[in-house]
Amino acid sequence: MIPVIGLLIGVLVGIVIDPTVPLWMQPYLPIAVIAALDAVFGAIRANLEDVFDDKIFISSFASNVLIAALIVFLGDQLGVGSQLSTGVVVVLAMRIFANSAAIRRNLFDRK
Amino acid sequence: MKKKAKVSSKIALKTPQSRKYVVIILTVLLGVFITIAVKQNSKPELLTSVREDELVLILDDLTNQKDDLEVELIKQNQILESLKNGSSDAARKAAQDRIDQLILLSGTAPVSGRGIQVLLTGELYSVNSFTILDTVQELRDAGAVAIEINGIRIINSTFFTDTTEGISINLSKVRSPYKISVLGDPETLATALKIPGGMAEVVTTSGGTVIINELAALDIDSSVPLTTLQYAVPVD
Repeated sequence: MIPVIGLLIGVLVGIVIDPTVPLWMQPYLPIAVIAALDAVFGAIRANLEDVFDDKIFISSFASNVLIAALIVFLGDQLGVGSQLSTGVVVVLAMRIFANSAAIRRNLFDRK
Repeated sequence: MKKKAKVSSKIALKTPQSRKYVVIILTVLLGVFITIAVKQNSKPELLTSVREDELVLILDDLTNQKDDLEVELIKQNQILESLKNGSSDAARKAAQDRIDQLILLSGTAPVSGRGIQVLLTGELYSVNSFTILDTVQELRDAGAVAIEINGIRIINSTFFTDTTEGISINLSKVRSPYKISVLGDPETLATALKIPGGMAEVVTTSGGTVIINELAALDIDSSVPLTTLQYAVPVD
């Protein structure tokens, strides 16, 4: 529950203060968001399976974001940035779908 | 922002209580990220989110366009200069060229050049005013610059009507055989008449004959008198 409230607060803060992103960071932001969402879905799934560990969540959040940004950065340097970022988004989206399927199954099993 | 999260997580991971705070901080951060990303995406200035290689492509396009336009500008400037400075010569030449073109098109003077000569024979049911009109239109589509039929110059106001013995062009009667002289690229003109379903086929299948001669030199001696402008005047 607390993470959901945190998310809502974050959205509100973003709307209110309206920060501008530095130019170099702009291509990485959408990727970072998707990567972080993947970590969040993983955490929800773990929570429902009663194996949630905040240490794992924190590390997966940070590493997901960093690795995704790193891959895109590397792709930009190699000249295949757009393709690689598409690849990263596809993989992360697949993971999110897999996690949400697990979450769904878990919710049904509880009843 | 990301780095900060990483560093703080290292320190905060030690106690379970602080870990909870870190989780909350991370979710708040995610919320902020999402709103920023959505806002950034809905901004109208599209170029800020375009990748480097795509920007290079756009830039290349624009550079090429600019180069083309610059060349065009230089050409136009040269023309302008020559018209200004060379005063009489260049301007007079341009005007003379234009007059020559107009004479050719309006049919007010005899002309000569390459072209074809077509000999059309046939009774009224195979060659009539419609046939002649179609022929003239096909020839014009093929780039004919001057057309003459049995000594009568065909211009844009020429009209064809059927009579009992043949046709009349501008109210003067002409009969088969019709001798059509056309100036233009001989090959193109001949092809235009000979294409399947074209004039030659229509006339021959209905009993007429068509003979087409491609000529390297051809004279069109007839002309029409220059008419005085009555209903319209040119705009400068």
